Amino acid sequence: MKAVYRQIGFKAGFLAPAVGIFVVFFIYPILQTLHVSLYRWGGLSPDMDWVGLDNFRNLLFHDPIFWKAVSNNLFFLIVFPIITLVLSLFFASVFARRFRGSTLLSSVYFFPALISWVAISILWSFIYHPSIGILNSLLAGIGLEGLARTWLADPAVVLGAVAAPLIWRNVGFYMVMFVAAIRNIPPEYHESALIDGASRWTIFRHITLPLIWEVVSVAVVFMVVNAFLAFDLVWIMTQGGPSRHSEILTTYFYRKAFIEFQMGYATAMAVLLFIGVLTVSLLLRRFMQRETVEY
Amino acid sequence: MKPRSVGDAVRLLFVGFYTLIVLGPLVWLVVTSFKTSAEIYGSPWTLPSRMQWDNYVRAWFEANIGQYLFNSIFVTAVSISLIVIIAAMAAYVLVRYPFRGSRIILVAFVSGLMVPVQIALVPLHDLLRTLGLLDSYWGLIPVYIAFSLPFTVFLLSGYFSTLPRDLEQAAIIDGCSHAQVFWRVMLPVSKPAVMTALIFNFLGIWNEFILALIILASDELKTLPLGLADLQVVMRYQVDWGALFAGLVIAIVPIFIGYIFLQEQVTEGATMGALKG
Amino acid sequence: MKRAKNAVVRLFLAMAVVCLLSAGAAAETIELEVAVFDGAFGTDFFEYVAREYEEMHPNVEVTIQGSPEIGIVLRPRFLQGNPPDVTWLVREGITNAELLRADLIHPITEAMHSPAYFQEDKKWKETIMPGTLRTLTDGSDEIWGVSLDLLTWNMWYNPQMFEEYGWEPPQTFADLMALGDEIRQEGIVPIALQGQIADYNIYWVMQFIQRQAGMDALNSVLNLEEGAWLQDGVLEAVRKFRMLKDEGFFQSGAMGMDHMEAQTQFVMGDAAMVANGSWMPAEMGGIAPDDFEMVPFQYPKFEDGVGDPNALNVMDAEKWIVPRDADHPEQAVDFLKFLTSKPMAQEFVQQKDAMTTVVGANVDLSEELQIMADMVEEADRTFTHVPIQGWYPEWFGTWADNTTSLLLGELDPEDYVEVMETASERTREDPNVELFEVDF
Repeated sequence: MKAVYRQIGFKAGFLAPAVGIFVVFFIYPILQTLHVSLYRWGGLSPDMDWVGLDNFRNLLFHDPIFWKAVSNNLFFLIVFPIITLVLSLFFASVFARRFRGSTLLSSVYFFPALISWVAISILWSFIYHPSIGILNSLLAGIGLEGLARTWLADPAVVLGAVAAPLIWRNVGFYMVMFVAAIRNIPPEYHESALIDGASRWTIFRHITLPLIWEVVSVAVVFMVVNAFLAFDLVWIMTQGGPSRHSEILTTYFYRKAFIEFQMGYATAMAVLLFIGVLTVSLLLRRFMQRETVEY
Repeated sequence: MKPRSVGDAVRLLFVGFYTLIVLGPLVWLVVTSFKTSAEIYGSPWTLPSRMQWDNYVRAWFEANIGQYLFNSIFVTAVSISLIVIIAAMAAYVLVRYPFRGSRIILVAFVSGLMVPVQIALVPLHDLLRTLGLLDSYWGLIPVYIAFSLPFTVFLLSGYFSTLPRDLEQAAIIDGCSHAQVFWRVMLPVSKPAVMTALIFNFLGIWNEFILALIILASDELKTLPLGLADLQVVMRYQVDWGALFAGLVIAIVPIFIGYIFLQEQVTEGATMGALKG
Repeated sequence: MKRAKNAVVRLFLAMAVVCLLSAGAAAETIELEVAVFDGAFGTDFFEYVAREYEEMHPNVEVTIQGSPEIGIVLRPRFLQGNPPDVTWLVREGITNAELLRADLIHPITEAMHSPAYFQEDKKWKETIMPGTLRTLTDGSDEIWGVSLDLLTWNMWYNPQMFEEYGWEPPQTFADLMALGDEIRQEGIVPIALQGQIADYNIYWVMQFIQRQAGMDALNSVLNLEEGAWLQDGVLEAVRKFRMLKDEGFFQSGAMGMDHMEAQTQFVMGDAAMVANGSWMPAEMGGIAPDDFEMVPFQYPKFEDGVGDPNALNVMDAEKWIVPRDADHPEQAVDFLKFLTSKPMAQEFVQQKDAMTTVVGANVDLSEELQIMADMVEEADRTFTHVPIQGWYPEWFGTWADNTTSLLLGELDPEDYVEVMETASERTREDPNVELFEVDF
């Protein structure tokens, strides 16, 4: 009896810190999010006006900036994963076969993934800088002055300019993941295909890719979710400018909540953001699910 | 890889080209951090005429990067130690001492993986305001812990469930209490998983920006990412890009050194996070 | 539920106040905490005022806290109900307009009607430039804050460069166009412009509307009146502004630069002119070459315009306020009165090479400041964006966005006035926006 009692004490004691912190600082705020999104609330004063679904209605039907942010977000989460995936799969297929220097090089490729977004954003905003930046001067150096521009203030290119460091930071990261997966494939598969005289592309397409599909699909979901939630990069580099051409949902949310103090409205946006992330990642999972090849 | 075919040559070319893309910005950053402002406004391709270590002195002392670095070390060290201990205790009980409801608790923790912190910012901010914990580590650290629990519990519970039963039975026969078994046997045995959890959470918290941005305000509390973002604004007024670049280098170097020494663990810890998706 | 939480917080606060009061009664010392923007003026002058004040009031101890991001530093303290006794908030973080909307400012109306420091025959109110007391308002008669420094927004030229080439600062818009052409042919940028802080470009548009269509037209725009943007003069003003871009008067990459970078081009001699506030000598002091000179001048007049050629964009800067939850509001208000007394203001002018809103204190100015003080003197009418930005932050943000688009060439002047007319209509008809009126 005493032992059982001690066990309860032991269990409770071990669980309490995690459960306590989780309930107070995770579950409660999440539930509050749903609650706050139904109010108009200035954030500075305690007065909250119940407005029902008005915040959602205004966002969806009367807020052009919200839709601009959504479309910029879509650009991010389509373009970034596609380019990143292609590049990282390509380099993974190269690096999967060890060659001299491959370990060192793959460490180099991986390193940017460890640098904070803030540092990367500042670095890249100087790469693009109109007077001291290296990119325009590089273009001039190779005879492409025509391509030089004010990258972060040009509506035509700003989104791509902001997405570039996202790719730069992540290609090596996913490459390393894919390399590990490819090296897990038993070598017989490749060998027998080689004997059959298959080309490298055929082998990659019909043997390697199906065998690592599981990892690839997880990675793609991860890429998309990360692109959806990017904040630091855009906030530091452009604050959504020029004229909202790089505004995305997280920066618009932050502006509404913590600069304009429209806490209720911003929270409604957070709810939509959550629904968006969830829907996209569930859809992607379903879409990318195929028969996993066993080996 | 000796180029044996045209295909190989093309691949090598791509690898070389991408290596330049990866390294170029970093090399430029380091070189520029040693230049004077006048040189920075000159050509981006020239080397500094003299190494301006003074940029680093200004970044460290005047721009407070030293203080921010120390703050980041403190916040990260406290947070990740607490996260791993708290999560390990909970995961251990949930996996090794199942009771009615333990499954639900585990599922609750793990489903937290689907919730991005961004959606809870406003209520979190309000909660900390009510508790009087804004602009304080006592507000920031618990939030870091809470939002790191899902992944850490997930990781450690998975690991604990693979450990053989005999381990703790032997220890109990030796007279250990349940708690002692955990501290003296199970935790040491789980070192690889604990290491992964530490590194994964380290990377997340060391680089964390938006929570620090809404919670911290005083200069003496700011963490490195917040301090760097600030420095960008301050240096704008002083047009002192040399010190800003030096500040960026100071922020990157500790990560670089850690990476050299712990490369395998870091790679593993970082890529593990992809499971979150 | 919010209210309940608040009640608890207030209870704690009340207890804290009681404790502090009893402690204060024993020591008889009032600790006054003053938080200021640590920008172009630094904090040394405010330290000086604090020491002077302590000398007059031995029972008061004043501490000055400064930060370049004072609004961000103080935000949690306002939110948690323990702000300093006096604040001077500039730039991001939290603004006076937001505090006022949330009813977090202590009014100073009563004190304004009490005798001024060192001029017992006058009320405090009478010693401050009248217009400046009305730019932080909730529409009531209360006065919420007072400003010390007086800022103008005007153009600047580089006299050494102008002398070298034999140029004269442009008097009229036609002069500006001709001169710009000439400057450009010398391979120099006529006007350094920045695109990152969109507000700065709104000041151009405001002055151009005034010059072209008159102050009433500007008032109607700022009062969100129907059809205000569709007036011919307003469209013409926008066209003229856009002409500067189309003629290539701005440096390349301007829209990617912030004000410091653009101004650096000016002080480095890469650009001949720039539009900026009266604080520019202080702001660029550390960056400009030692022998660099800059001279302010009025925006040119428009020959075909009906506006006032002397009208000036005068920003009475950000207000000093006493937070509602200050520990010692009465003492804090008294400190503000002392800070804006004539002797202190004169000291400010001398020490900081700046202008002040305190009547009669702008004496012995430096050469550049004297020119600007004369501009203020000559201006029959002045205007400012300050209250508008506080009242209609969203509308103002839209204006900023569209002005950026105008300069990027995404919006033509015709589209610009259309979208602004729509934006005004939206704000005017938004039931959640309280409307105010300006009459510059």
